[in-house]
Amino acid sequence: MATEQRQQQQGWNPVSRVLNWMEQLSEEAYAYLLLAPAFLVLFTIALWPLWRTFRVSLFADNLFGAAKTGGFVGLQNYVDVLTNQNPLLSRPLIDFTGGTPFFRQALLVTLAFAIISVVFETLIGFGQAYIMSKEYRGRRWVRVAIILPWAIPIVIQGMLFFLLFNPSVGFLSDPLQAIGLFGSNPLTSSTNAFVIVTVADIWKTSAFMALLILAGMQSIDKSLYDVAEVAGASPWQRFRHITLPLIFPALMVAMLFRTIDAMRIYGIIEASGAGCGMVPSLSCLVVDTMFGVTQAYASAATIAFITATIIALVIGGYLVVLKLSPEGSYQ
Amino acid sequence: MVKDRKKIKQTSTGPVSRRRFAQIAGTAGVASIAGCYGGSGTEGIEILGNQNLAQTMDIQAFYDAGVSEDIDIEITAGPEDTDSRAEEFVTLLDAQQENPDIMVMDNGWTIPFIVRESIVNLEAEMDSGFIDQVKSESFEMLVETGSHPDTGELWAIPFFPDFPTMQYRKDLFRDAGYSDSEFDRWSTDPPSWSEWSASVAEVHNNADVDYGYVWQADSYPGLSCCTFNELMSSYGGAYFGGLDTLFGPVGERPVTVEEAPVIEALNVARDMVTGSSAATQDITQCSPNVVFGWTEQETDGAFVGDVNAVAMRNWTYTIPLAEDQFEAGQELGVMPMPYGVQESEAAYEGLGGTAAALGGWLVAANPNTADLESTLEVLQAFHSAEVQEAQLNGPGFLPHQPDLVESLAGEHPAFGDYSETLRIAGDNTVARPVTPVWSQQSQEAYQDINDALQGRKQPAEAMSDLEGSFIDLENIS
Repeated sequence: MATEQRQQQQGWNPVSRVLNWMEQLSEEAYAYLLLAPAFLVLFTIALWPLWRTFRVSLFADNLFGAAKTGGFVGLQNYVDVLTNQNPLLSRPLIDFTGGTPFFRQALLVTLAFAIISVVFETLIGFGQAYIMSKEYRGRRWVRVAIILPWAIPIVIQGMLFFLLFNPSVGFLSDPLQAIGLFGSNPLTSSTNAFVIVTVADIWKTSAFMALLILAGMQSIDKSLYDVAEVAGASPWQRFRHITLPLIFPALMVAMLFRTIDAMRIYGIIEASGAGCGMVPSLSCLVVDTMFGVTQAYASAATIAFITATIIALVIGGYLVVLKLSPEGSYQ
Repeated sequence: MVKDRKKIKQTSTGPVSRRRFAQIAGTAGVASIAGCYGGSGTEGIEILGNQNLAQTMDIQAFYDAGVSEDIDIEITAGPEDTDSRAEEFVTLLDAQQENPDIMVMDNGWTIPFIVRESIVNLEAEMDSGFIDQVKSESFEMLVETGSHPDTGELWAIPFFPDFPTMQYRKDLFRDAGYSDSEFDRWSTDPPSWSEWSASVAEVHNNADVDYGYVWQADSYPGLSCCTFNELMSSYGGAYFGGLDTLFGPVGERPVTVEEAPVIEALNVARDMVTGSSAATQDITQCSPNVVFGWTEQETDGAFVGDVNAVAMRNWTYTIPLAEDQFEAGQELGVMPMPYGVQESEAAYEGLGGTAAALGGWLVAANPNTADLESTLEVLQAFHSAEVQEAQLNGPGFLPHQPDLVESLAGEHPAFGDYSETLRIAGDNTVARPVTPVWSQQSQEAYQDINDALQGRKQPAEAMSDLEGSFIDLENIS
C-alpha cells in the first residue's frame, strides 16, 4: 500500500495518470469501465456485422462481375423477398399466393419448427426436471440418461437419425411406413423430413430445458409445499399455485433461449441427411443464397436481416410477457 | 490517514486494488491476443482435390513433366460433394486465403468463378503458345467450360473429362441372337434410340433379369444438367438456342425449351418407360418405372451390384466396377449414347447425333497464392503427358487430350478395350449451360422435366412453365 502511494506521488507518465484516474472513479463508473471491453467485443462481433448486413441488403445483387453488390435499391430487396419475386432463392421465404406447399416456404417451416419444438421441449423438459428433482435410488443414472442426448454433437445426432430412417439400413422407416405414418424414403419428403428433424431436435434439447427448469425448481423453498399440504392443497394445486409461479421467470428464460436457437436451425437439417432442399429453414436460405456459386450477397443479407428482425421481435415478446406477468422478476 | 484509508476502501475492488486488477487483466489480455497471431499456410504448392486424388496420385509425375524439384507439391482432399466443394472455394476466396494454391473445380460451376474474376486469368499470366496448345489439344467443350464466356480467355486448365456411355450385357445380347459384328459397329457408330429401345426390349424378354434399360430420371440436378440435356441434344434441342449461346449472354439469348425437339425428347423418355406412343418416332418400352426416382446410385446397384439389368447409362467410373463385378460368362459392352436424329437433321449446328453430357473437372489458380510463379509452373504440368498418364493409372481419371485417351487409355486394364469408344463419346459431349444463374435454372428444369416424365404435367405445359422460370432468371441481370 505504501509502495503504491509512492508510485502515485512519483510518476506522471501516461500509464500512471490513467491508473490514478481509474482509482478516483465511483463504483458505478468503474463497473462500466470494466464492462467496456465486453461491450466492444459485442459491438464488433454482433452490432457492426448487423449494421453491415443491413447496408448490403440495400444494394442489388451483382452476379456478373467482380463487385459483390450492384447499385443502391433501397428496400426493393425486402419487397422482392417478401412477395416471392426473387428468383435467386432456392425456396420462397413466404408465398402468399398459396402456390408453394407449406413445407417449402422457409419462414413457415422455421416458425412451425420453433413453435412445435419449444412447446414439446418445455413439456418434456418439465417432466424430466420433475423426475430429476425427486430423491430415489438410482437417481444419478436417470440424470445421466436424461442429459446424455444434450451432450451428443449435432453431427452425431444427425447421423443417428439418418441411419434410423434410411430405408436400406434403418429399422424405423419400414414399420412407420407400414402404419401409414411415413413414406418409403422419409428423408426425401418435405413433410416427413420436417417431422424427423423436429423429433431429433426435441430428443436432444429437452435436457437443456430440463436443466434450466430444475434450477428454478430447486430454488423454491420446500416449506411452502409443507404449508400447502397441511392446508389441504392437492398436488395439482401445489403445482399451479406454488411451482409454476415461482419457476415462471426461469421457464421464460429457458423458452427464450430455445426459441432463439430454434429460429436459427441449420446444423441438424444438413447432418440428418434431409438437407436444405427438403427442410428449408431461414438459415438454410441464407447459406444457399450466399455460399452457392451464384453468390447473391444482397439477397442473402436481406434474408439474414429479416431473420434477425423476427428473432428480435420474438425476444421482445418474451420480455413483455415477463414484465407484465405478476410472476415476472424482470427489472 | 483515516481519510486515505476510507478513500482506498471506497475505490478498491475487494482485497485486490483497482491498479493491481488492471495490471493483471491487461497482461492476460495482451498474452491471449498475442497467441492469436502465428504463421499460417503451408510451404510449397497445395492442390485441393478429392480423397481419391490425394491418396493415389503420383506426385513424381509433376517433376517428370519438368516442375522444379525445389517446389514441394502437396495434394489435399476437400469435400467430396461437388456443391460443398464450390461452397468451400467461395468461402476461402472471399476470405483471401493463400491456400490452396491450385483448386480442382467442377466444369459445372467454374464459369461463375471466372465471371466474378475470383481466380487467376491464365491467359494473362501464362505463355500464349502454351495457352493455344491447351485450347487446341484438349476436348473442346471442356476448354469452353474453363473459358470466359465473353472474351474466350482461358481461366482454368482442363484436368479430366467424364461423360456417360451406354453400358450393356454383351452375353445377354448374344443369347438373343446378336453378334460381335453388331457390338463392334455400335462401339463407334451407335444405333438410334428407336433401334436401341427395340433391341433392349427384345433382349429383356429373352433374359433372366428384372430390368431392361436403367437410367437416372429422378428429380435432381443430374437430370437437368446431364441425363435430359444429352437426350434433348441428340434430338437437336437445347435450353437456350444451341451451342453458340450455351454460356450466355444471359438475358440476351433465346429460351427454346418449348420447341419441338425438346418436346420430342420428353415424349421419347416417357415412351421408353410407360410404353405410350407420344413420340413421333417408334420407341419401344424398355425401362422400368422406378427410374423416375433413381440416380446413379440406384442404377449402379441394379446393373453392377445386382447384375440385374440389360443396359445402363452411366459415367465412366462404373466401367472398371462392372469389369470387377461381372463373373465368367457375363461380359460388358460399352458404346456411345444412342442418337435421336442425325446431325444434319438437327435444328441447331453441333446438335443431333450421339451426345453425352459433359462432366469433368478443371484446375484453377488461387489469386491469393503466396507464390504465383510456382503455382503456374505446377499448373502447366497438368497438361503434360506424364501427369495425364499418372492421373489415369492412379486415380483413374481420363486424360483431357483426345489423342492421349486413345493411346494411354488403350493400355489401361479397365478402359483398354473401350478407348476408341471413349474418345468418340468425349468428342461429342455437350456441356450444361453454365452461367451464374444456371444453379437456379437447373432446379426449375429438373422439377418440371421430372413432372413431365411422370405424367404430373403434360410435356407442353411443363416446358411452358419452365420457359417462364428461365425468362425470370435470364432477366435478373
